[in-house]
Amino acid sequence: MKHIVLAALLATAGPACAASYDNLNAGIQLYNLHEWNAAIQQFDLALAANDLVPSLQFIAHFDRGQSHGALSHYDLAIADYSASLALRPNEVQVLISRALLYGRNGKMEQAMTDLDATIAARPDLDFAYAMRSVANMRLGRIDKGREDIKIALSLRSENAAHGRDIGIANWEVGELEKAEDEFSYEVEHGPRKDYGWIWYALTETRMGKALPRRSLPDFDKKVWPAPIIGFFLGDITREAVFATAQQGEANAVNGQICEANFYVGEWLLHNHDPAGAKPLIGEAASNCPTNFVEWGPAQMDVVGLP
Amino acid sequence: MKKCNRIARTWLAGGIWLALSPPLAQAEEAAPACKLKIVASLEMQTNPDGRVTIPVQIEGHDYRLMVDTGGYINTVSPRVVKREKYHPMRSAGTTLRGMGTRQLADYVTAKDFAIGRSHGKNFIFFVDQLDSLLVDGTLAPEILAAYDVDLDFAHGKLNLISPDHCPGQVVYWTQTPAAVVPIEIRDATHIRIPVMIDGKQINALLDTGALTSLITMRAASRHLDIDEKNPGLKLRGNIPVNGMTGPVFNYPFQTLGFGGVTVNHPHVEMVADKVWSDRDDLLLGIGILRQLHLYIAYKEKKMYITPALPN
Repeated sequence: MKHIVLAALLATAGPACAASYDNLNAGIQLYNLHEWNAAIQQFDLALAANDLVPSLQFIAHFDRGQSHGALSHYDLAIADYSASLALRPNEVQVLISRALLYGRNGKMEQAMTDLDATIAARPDLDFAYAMRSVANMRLGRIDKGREDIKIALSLRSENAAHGRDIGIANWEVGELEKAEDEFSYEVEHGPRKDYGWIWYALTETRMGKALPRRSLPDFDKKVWPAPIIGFFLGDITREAVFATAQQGEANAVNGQICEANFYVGEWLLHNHDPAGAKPLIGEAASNCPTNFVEWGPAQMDVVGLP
Repeated sequence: MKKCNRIARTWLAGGIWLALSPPLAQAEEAAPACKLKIVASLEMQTNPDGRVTIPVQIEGHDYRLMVDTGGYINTVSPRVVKREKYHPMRSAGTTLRGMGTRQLADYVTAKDFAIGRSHGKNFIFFVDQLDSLLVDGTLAPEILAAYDVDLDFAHGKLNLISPDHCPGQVVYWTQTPAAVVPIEIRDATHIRIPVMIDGKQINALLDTGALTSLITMRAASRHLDIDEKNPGLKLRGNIPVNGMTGPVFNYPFQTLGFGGVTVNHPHVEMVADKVWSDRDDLLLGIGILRQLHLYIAYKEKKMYITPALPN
């Protein structure tokens, strides 16, 4: 009997080679130390002999993909994620990782496919819906994007973080009272009280309430986004906002112009000037970087403007 | 690695924990005395950082729990709590702390918990803020220690084996002689073993839940005559190690010996005493452990060790 049991255990052993396995362990250690190039070299060696058991091949590909991703080698990373998924097709961590890189490469249809698969496997993941909402919006499917945000919000746990980002999600789906609470929270407790107040002020205006002047946090009047706050308060003109937005380093200027277009446009929209708002929000929708928080709301609002 | 205070452990010990029952077919089988009887042979998956999970079922649903020989308590993530519609309870007047700063106070009770074909009822899991999609919780020795635990990292297998076998007759995976190391079980389930690091004997805690192996400055000074002025030390900076932040140094250790088995150039980080103030001198994390094939015989109080791929 003993021999039978031992044979059963031994039958699980594959033909793994000690050198490949040592390379894998070295790769994992270097990966943990964020030494990406050295880690990739070890994973290359570990995978070259093709003798690791499938679960270890999976992690060698995934970690190498992560390492390539950290080095902005997106195509190589995607290839490794695909190899991992060939071994475990429904592994949502890999699907999410690949979707992110497809998104960065502008391959939104492929990103959508991975996010659909993620949601099919794990319909409880709020952030998968949030990611898919962005993909839908980038594909021009604004209504589907909005639906995904609604689902993402409904799946948030009670203990999830509060603040500006959740406020913006609520703003996008028209849950203004919830948005108001989140922005108020950001003004009180958030890391960006100035932007929190801008959103809080926009929300109050959209709800027909007075400008929340008493909630205004301390902010540096010489630093962006002070001009936007000044514009909301009536202290400076719209032209002055855009003049200031043009000042600074090139990267900063692009962001400032995006924000000037969006926030001034939204201010006009919710102060009964949709005609004045439309070109500004249109500019924001077209030219804001997709990783700016203003990008999503601009996509949604621009399609609703007359 | 998890720490908990005396109150918490007492509470757990007197609590609801029940041993996993073996499947009926195995229970009825009259086993010859020297047979190694597998209770469960599980596909072990390696996480990106090298730690490992095994598949389990909670309330009939598939999950992955990280094997944490250094843990005191079993944990699940909030996503498990949400999916199973648990209503967490607050532990009465006590708080369990992880090695880092997390405070674990809420727990849930799984009515049905299964590893392989073995089921147990009314298992307690504390709720931990795990944010990995590859790990749904952790499995501590309070469950594992009921068995012999056979960790075959190189082949991605974890076998739970009945501890009722002939003493010493467990090394099935190789003809190569295995190192047989006595283990001291501390705090009911934690494994402490003697090792030789650069030729000096030192006691080590075995912790598959720890990413990094570490030694404190205090222990390095006491056992190895390495102090902060040693030219071999290279400061890596104030970085998090196993959930705690403090000065971390690299040191070119040459060998780490387990009986006759040696790991060359072990990656052991040297940390300020405040980072790890446990009573042990050396913490062996997964980076080193996964270079070995480990057979932990809790009942026999021995561990059988070979290289991960001895042949």
